[in-house]
Amino acid sequence: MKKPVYNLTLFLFPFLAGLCVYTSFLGAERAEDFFTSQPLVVFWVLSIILATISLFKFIKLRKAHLLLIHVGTILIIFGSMVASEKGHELVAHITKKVKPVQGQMVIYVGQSSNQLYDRSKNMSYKLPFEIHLKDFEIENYPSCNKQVKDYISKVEIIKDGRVVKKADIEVNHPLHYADFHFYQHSYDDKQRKYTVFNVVSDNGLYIVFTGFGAMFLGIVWYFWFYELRKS
Amino acid sequence: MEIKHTILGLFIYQAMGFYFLALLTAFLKYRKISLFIYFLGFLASVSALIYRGIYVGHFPLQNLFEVFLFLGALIFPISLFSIKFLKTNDYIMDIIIGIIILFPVGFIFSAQPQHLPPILQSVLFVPHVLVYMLAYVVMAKAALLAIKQLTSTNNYEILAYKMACVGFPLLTAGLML
Repeated sequence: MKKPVYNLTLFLFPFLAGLCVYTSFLGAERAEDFFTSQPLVVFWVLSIILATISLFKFIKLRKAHLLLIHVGTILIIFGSMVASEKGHELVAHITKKVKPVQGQMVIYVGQSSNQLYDRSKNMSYKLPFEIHLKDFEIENYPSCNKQVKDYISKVEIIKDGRVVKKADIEVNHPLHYADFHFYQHSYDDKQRKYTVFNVVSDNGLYIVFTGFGAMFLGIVWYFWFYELRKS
Repeated sequence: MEIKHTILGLFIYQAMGFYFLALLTAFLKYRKISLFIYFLGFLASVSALIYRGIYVGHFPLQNLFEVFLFLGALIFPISLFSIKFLKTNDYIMDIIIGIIILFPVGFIFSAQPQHLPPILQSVLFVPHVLVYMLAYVVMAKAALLAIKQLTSTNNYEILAYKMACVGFPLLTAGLML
């Protein structure tokens, strides 16, 4: 069992490196489509299975630092699968609640909306709450009036007819509510009458974060406190 | 080519001059003098960095000019770290890297202050750039040591590996930030 796992892993790593180089020429959207295509889903599942079997079969991998790197990698792949389109479909199938992966909301100043539009699939969804856009502001740098410093959408979350949350959504300061992140995406550049939010589901996000944290800890431990001391 | 006729330019060219002198004296085997001149180059580049920070009113890591200026100052502490903790007595390559880094700062990049667009105003922007730049310098050192291994009878392989060990976690940290 050990040798086939070892050989298959030796094949999978250069294969993955090759895929990364190939997809770097495709652009972000096509790369995402490629990595979430069915053959690649098989590849990811196989990677998780191999990594898990390796943990049981290779005693060396049970050292804390290598274990962290390994578990971190498994969590990153698993979290990414949960966050994918198919992952959302699977969760929806189990929980009977449809949750879009992402979409965009266009809201006019003074109005409310719960409509989420997914352009890639040409589908609309209704969120179980409304977002009311109180105001939209653009701040410029004082020294240079033409250069934008910040875009700010002042919003209220309305659920069952009452305001449950107030927030300012800015670039790099998204609003997190009901398992969605709302990012400031675009605006009406002529009359400033509406704002556009990019809404992204957070399914799998914290699994990926945990995975990266574990992997980073393992890598620091291995290289700085094990390999450097050894050499 | 953009020559900077300013106080900032003076500090930058001073740093480059000291780095050149340090390189020359290192080749002539005057190690102590060379290290002292290298230190003077570091002081000049730190002065340039502080002057820039005061002039633009923000942490000077917001465009290529500032990032490279920062790296020019960072190379001396990296050398000290390598000598003290990794036992790499060879710092000549660091000086060469320092000169290569400072060349575009002095002659190519514009020193015109620029505001960051909203998308780059994240609190993680400066640590991200800082960690990546640090990683690139360390990895560049590892690469140069590995190349040196090809042409030398001395064993630079372990040193190159040590540098890669330092740099790889930094690359991972940069990815996360």
